Amino acid sequence: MLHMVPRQTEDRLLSQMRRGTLEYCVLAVLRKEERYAFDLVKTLAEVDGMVTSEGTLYPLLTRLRKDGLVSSAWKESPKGPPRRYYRITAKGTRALDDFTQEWRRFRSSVDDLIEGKENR
Amino acid sequence: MNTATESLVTRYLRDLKRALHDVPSARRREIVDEIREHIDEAATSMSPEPNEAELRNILDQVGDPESIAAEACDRFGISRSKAGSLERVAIALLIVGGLLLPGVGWVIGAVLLNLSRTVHMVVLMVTVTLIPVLTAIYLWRRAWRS
Repeated sequence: MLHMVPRQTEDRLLSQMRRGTLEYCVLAVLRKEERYAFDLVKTLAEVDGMVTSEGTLYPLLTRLRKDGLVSSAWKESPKGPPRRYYRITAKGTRALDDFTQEWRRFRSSVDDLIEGKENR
Repeated sequence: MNTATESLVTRYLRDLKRALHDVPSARRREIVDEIREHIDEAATSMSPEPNEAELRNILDQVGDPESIAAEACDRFGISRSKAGSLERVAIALLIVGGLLLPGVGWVIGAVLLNLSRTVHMVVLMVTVTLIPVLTAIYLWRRAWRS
């Protein structure tokens, strides 16, 4: 128990790490295929530590749409009313590619430091 | 949905709208609409339809309106406001106006407070009804003493 990170600190840590990465996780999920909004949110909410609640993803989706990184459209559904679908735009794909490069560099630098492999 | 579960959703969405008061109205509408669709979908995907406890569970997963609003303000670079100048003027008018301009000041204050989106409904009701009553008691006692 002594070594456990206190819950609050853990929450703050996660939320700080999420801040810069969550939007790219949304783009990454959409890169493969367009997704029905509900489904997209459920998928991300199921990833451990990714979101605090399903609802907090909607402001982010609104922001991404405003910035032109994703677009949304209504589509007929085989059963029930039409559904709102999200897809990634060309601008979104470019942003994700840039992030992916930076992320890989950043991640390996952090890993090296944590594992004590820095070149000295 | 039945009336009990429906009113739960209505109340939740009203709280959400209120929590999002700092977000520009077009964005606020988008967020609220999409969350409404999300709740509808979560409810209709259940069979039989969710009872009250199950619906509360759905709303819990969607999350606390305040945390959604905090996220929205963060994503749109908006600083969250507490009670603003409008509210302070309104409450001052309710108190002072009630004494100096019986009737008129109170009405203006009540209207201003009503325009405000930050003051919670309970505070509003209490302020709007209590102040004239207290003022009346005070004036009546003063008149009675002299």
